[in-house]
Amino acid sequence: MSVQGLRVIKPGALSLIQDTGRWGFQHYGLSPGGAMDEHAARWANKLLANPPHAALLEITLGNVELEAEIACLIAITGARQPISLNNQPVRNWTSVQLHPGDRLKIGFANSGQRSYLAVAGGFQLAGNFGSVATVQREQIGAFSGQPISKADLLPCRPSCPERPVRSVPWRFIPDYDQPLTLRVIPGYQADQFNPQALKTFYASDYSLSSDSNRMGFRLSGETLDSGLSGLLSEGISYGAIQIPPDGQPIILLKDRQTLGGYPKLGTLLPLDAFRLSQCRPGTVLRFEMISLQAAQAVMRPFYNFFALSL
Amino acid sequence: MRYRVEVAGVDSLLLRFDLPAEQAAISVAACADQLKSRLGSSVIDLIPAYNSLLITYDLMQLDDPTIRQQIAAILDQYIPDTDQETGRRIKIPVCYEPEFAPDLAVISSQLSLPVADIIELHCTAEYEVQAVGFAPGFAYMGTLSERLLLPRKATPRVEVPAGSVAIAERQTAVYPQASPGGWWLIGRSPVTLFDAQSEPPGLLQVGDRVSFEPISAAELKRLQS
Repeated sequence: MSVQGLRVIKPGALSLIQDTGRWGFQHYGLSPGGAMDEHAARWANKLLANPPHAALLEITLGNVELEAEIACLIAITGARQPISLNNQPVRNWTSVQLHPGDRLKIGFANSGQRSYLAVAGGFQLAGNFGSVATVQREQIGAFSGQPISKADLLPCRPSCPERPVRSVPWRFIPDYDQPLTLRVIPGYQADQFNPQALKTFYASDYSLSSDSNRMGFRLSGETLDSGLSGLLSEGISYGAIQIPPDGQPIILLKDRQTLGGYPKLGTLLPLDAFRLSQCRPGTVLRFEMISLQAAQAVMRPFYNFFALSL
Repeated sequence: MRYRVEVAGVDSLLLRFDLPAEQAAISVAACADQLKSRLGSSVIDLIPAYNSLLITYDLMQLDDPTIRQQIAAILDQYIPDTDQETGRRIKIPVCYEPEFAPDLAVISSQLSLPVADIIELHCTAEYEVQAVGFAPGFAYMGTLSERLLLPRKATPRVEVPAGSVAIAERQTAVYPQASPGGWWLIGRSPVTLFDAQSEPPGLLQVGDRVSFEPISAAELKRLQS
């Protein structure tokens, strides 16, 4: 039997196969990559009782059209956007049964940046080093590290018999247009920072710059002088907030380089970094501190919840 | 081993070893190996660089106080074997002929050193891999002879060919892929430094001892094919 799945009619501006990342290879210089908003991505897999690491599609700003070649159960979460199945509206944050010949249309996102399309059993694609996460800069992951294009096949297993439709409860669906205060775990060089720079950072509004991508988000606002220079490169963790010589913070996200030598004042709570990944340029951001203990008490239940099957 | 521990995220710690940055690689790599073998699956990633080591661990298996205790139990009494006779040694062939060494002539006049002396200084020393990053497989190796000390180029090249052997400050490196780059190019190697299809994907790891072996343009061509 030939490989079947979802056929790409319209690929959208940037649609990438992702999972929860490529771990254990950063000492070779490989970026972990992975879904930018793990909150929405993990929900998409959970709705289908997939393992958290199952391959799914990360769609940036919508405008995607797919045709089902087999019967399969999918789920879409994340950015708010019109979705239709054979021209009938379909809800976001819910599972949907597709039949052969069905056309799924995802319109332009009007709130949030990224949506996730998962399929029961996960997309059946080969990757590198245990992960399909697409890192374009490294040309690694599914589709040789490139976004999906027109006429590509996203292979999946047929899901029969049909399973009941499941939805994410309303209280877990974020409003991506709400103002945002991001929680920071102080760390790295925070103790050596010029205290005035830290004071300014936690007291000011920053705006998300359009010069932002999967590697890092740049902020613009009050200039910070860390008082530190000439540091050696060191390992960079997810959500690290670095202050380059121009004094405008950069938050390092999923496709970050593994090493960096700019002073860092701490890292974002991952849950808040996921939420930040949905923000559009111009979004106003504020920061507050969270203790490491409190941060671990937030993240552990999050990972445990998604590790369990529904 | 003596080290300081810093928080580097909800699931990450940065160990800073009490060692000079340029002489730390072999010890830090040995500590990373110890931690990896003793902590097993509760450690997700270990990134050594100079005298630091970033440890990312699985929050579902460990919390901050527990991993700190475990690290202390493993490293506090540990003395890495830094004996010259141990560890991996890797030889990298390099063609220093002008066609593949676009910056050699400029460096020669800047440093007032004959080209032959530059090549000699570069290929008679043994280097240690001090960090791997910037791009997959890019290894920062030191320590380069003081007589070859140059700052990075003021204007980086838009594209440096894959296999370019380069120097800057007190370090040398081989570009694994074609990429932009601000180092001085003094030769070309036929060696594959990074291959996403092989396991392990990278030729060089922190703590490896590396030396360069001059080859002719004809040998370079032969080894490239």
